[in-house]
Amino acid sequence: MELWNAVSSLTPSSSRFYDEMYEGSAVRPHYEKTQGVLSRMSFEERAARQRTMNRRLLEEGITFTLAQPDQPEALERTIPFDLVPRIIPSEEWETIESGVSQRVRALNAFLHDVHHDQHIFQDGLIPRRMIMGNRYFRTEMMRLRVPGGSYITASGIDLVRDDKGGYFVLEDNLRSPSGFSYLFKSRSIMTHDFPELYFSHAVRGIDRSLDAFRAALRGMAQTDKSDPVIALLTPGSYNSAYFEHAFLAQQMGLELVEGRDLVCRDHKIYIRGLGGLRKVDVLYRRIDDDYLDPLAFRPDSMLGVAGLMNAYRFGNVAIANAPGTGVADDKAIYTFVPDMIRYYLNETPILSNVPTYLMSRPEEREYALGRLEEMVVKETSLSGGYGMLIGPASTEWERERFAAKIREHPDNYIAQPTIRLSTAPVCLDGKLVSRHIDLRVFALMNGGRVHVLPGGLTRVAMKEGSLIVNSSQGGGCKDTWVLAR
Amino acid sequence: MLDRMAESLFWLGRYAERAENHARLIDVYYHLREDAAGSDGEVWRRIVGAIGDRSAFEEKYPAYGEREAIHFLTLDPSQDNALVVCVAQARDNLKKIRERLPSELWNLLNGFYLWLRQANVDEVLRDSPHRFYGRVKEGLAAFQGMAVSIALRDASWHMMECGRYLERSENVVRLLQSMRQTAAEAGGSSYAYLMAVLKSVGGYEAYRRLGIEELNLEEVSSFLLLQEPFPRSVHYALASFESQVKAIRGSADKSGSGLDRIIRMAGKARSELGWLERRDIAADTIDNVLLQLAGTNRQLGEAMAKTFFSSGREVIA
Repeated sequence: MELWNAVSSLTPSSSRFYDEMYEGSAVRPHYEKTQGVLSRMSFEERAARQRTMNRRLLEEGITFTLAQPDQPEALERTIPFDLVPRIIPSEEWETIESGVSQRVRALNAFLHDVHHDQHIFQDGLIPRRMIMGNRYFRTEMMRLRVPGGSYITASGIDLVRDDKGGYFVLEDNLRSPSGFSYLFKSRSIMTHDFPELYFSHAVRGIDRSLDAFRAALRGMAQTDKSDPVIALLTPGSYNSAYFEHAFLAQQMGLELVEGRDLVCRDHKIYIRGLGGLRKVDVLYRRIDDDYLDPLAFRPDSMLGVAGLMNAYRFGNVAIANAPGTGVADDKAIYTFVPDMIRYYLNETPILSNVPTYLMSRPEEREYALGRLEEMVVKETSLSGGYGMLIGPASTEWERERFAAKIREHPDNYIAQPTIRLSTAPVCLDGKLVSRHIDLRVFALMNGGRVHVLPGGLTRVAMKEGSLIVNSSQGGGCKDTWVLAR
Repeated sequence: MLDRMAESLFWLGRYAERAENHARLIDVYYHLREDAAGSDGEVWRRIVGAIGDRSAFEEKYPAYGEREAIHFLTLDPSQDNALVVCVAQARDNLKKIRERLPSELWNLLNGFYLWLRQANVDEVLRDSPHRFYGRVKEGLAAFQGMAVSIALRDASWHMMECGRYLERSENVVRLLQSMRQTAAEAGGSSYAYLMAVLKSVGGYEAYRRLGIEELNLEEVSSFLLLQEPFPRSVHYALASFESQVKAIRGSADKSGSGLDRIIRMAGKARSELGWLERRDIAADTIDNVLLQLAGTNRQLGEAMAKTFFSSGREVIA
């Protein structure tokens, strides 16, 4: 009975949060097997299993580098991996899948529109200055026909669940979202190091998604060649996400290149190899717009290729994701996505936004400033959990400082009511405790079709009570299972 | 293949090979406590001299001792030549190009590196150094064996193998030079010492199987230089190096004069070794032969760097 106690000593799922595994004190049906397996293991067994998994992450070098200001050498860290999977029943997943697909299609249509006829401004849905004055807006992209019509080849949509269990979109990541590799590695760890649990469920596979990814990139090639050259442009082995770049290149058979490996001649991009020059047809870039081309954007960039934007505009190379997609994942533009879905697709939004107050609208600003202690305030152009104020966890002084910043640059901020993120059990030293989680769902766009990777990356806020799940802030991850029907 | 990849692959091959040679050498020397000629310190002084840099050691420690010597040669991260640094270098080079080789290789080398990094000298001495170096040899052999078993035989592979064989040729020549020097200092070389040299390259049994009667300095030298069927001889290493470079020429069409020059140089050194006879390696000529080979190895390394690694940056928009 001792083991049984170990599990039920889990913080009794308080009604304040939606718990993924428990409904009150009852286990939700889709978690029954998992709960059964876990409760039959002892503390030590669970802790040992978890250690094996995390050691494997380290051995395989599944690390990200964290630059520490006070340390000369960057720290190589693994993302803490949790052995309790997150399970999504198939009906729930259908909603997520169609909702994400719908959202990506609308955002892509929006990007096409703002770079061409700009109907959405003329029809008064979105103020023109919000786009034209946006720091991610690239005039170079105006009236450019992008290969296959896809601006957002790869995207990551972050979802959260509120205290009722409803799914909400927290933000869209449309520039160069990362996390794909963790999805595949998490799955590989679960199948190898916890097979008895994994194989007792019918989980939808993810391996085909790499094919879909490659096909999406290949589909962008503007050439008749039977084997177009697809390259992944990385900032290099010192970048925090280098593992992911190497993983994707290896698994999809892409050339992994740095800016210095590429050269532009006659408006074509070539890889400079020992065997001479090889023309690149598709460039999946994992560096920001700013650094892509020193001639077009930041002149001090050492990471990009001089002449890339010209080659792109000539149609000699395809770039994924297209430059300028940042205008659509801005946190202020986010507010308008449900409108975009109605406007461009004439559909009802399947996934809702978290209610968001634009600080540029006076009445919304005053409303939010009046209750900052209940709000999460975000800077519109920052990501990764930086530049945020979390109301309930903040001090009076922090709130005053933020209020002053908001009044000074209202355009740069949005506020959202603090969402009571859902919780899930996490194994800490063998004990099961509950922590807040979110879900990053990945979508791949190939022409007009959107492929949503079954599952996604469940991120965990490892600190008790914390709501910040970003890996740069010490977040962990779980494997995410979508049950087949 | 890109210039920087060629460079990383080449150094990956070199450092993996160097680490193996170091582990073999330390293991054998550690267990060589022959003829108590001189103090205990003398043993450690010789080991440090054979692998590392004596002056760097003396700067750091007042006297030669077991614990210090083992730490210095094996686990000291500040020593360029220490075992752990060679492995770290191999791993860092592999990390930069890990998508070019099978991921199993990366997992293996990275896991091995993490294990070696956390080793500490007191545990090594307590749990038997022989077993420790045995594990090191096994780890590196697993890496090499896995590569042979699953790596694609493309230009990446040939480049890594180039590094491996050039390093092997260099290491064996240096081992023979240090053997000559020790013999000169001691006024002759002992049976146990010569046997240790042979064992450190895993060649003692092969030596016996070839039916060489005597065990003396000249015979051992000519075995390690000329015996082509033995994979750790200089002749074998240079011949393999040559064929790997030729394979690179075959797979990529960088038909520059640089590559041809490397092939010519390696071929020349190899055929010269092939023409040497046993009696050409005598007490008074061996130093010259070794010096010449050391020069060839150095030139080959420089030529590789010049042909493959230096990339002039050009910007044409």
